[in-house]
Amino acid sequence: MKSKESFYHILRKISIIPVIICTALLQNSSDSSSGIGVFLLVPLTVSIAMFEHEFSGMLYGLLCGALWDLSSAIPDGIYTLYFTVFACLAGLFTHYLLRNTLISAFVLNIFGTLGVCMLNFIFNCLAKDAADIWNTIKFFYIPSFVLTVVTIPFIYFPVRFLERKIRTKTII
Amino acid sequence: MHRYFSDTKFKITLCITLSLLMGIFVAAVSDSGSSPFSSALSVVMTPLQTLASEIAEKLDSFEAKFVSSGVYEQEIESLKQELDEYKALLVDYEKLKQKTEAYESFLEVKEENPDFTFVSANVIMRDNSDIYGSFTLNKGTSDSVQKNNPVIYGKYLIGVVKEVTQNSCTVYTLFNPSVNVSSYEIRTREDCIIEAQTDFSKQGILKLTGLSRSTPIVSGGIVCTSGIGGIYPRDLIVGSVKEIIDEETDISVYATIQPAIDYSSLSDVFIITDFDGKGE
Repeated sequence: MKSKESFYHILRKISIIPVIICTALLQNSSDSSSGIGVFLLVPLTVSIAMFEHEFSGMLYGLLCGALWDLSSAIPDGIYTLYFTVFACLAGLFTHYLLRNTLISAFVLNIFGTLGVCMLNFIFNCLAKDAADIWNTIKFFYIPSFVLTVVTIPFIYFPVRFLERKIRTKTII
Repeated sequence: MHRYFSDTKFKITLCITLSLLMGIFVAAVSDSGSSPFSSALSVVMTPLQTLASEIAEKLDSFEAKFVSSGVYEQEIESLKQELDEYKALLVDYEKLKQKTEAYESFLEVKEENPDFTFVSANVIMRDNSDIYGSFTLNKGTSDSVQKNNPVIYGKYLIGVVKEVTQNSCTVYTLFNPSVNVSSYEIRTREDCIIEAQTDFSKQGILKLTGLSRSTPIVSGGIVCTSGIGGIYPRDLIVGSVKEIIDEETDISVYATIQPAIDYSSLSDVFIITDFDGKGE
């Protein structure tokens, strides 16, 4: 029985990794002919951290950030550090302060996406002394922020389903 | 939450964060610009990313089939407009190219004949009822053009001005039976006369008469104006000998001449208004 529990425990931990890899590939391989980016890894990190809490969430956040760092234009390691810290904080807040609901996911996602946009803005616009910053904010960052925030239900519920399904099997 | 900060897991989290900070520093100072962790992860992820890109490309082309026809219509319209613009540019280019070619040969003629006085002219009308291909140019007496001025295209004789008004003139081509040109074959130096006959003109060839029975002229010989008569300057090319034929009415022979230029396709020509030996 204990071995079965530990098997499902490991299975739950491992089953999230392909989801993270697929989401990272989807985010960084899709055609962005519209010029707007959807940061799928942010709502995914939030959703996973809310269910896995601070330590495991931090490790999954590390993986999400590392996968994004592979294709990002900002200095290497920035996203890894950001997602590690953010996922840890999201897990902490969900474990001790917030309830694990869609509203909490929205709130955490808003802050997470804001952080990603600011990082991106600092390294791509301010650091490179880019011209026409206001238009970049208006036509890229704001639409990307809005699109990323609205994707949280499409990611939160499947992650919740996966987590609960495997937890139920664990209990049984 | 206070328990978490005293827990081992928090210390591990702190160590990981510090090592990530070190990784950022290493990435910043290294030649590759990437941290060791990213380098290790990329070994696993690069094949997956390649596969994902290929799948994304295939999906893009699949998605294109579901794009509304309105989008394609707009694209077609803009491409048509672009094509029309390029066609117009191409027409302008071809015109400029022809003008350049004409001016280049004009320059050559001018350098060889510094005594020539030219007026450039454009073909503005063609008489469709005229089987000899006469045409009207946009220069007249106001440009010093006179009757019997030779008309050339580069080094080639085209015809002669037969009617002049203030601003235009009508040119008879060499196919017109009323136009006779004294000429010679450049290799044999044999004098002859270029005439036009209706049946020959319909075939686009001229008749070279005045040849002796034992003429040394052969097919391929170049025929030029001789300057005799004072109407046409010397050494303007008329055409090349096509064949030597026995005359039916007497024992002489004549040759058929293939003009060097297609008169029906000309648009820019030059009128020689003056030259040494004119009227002599």
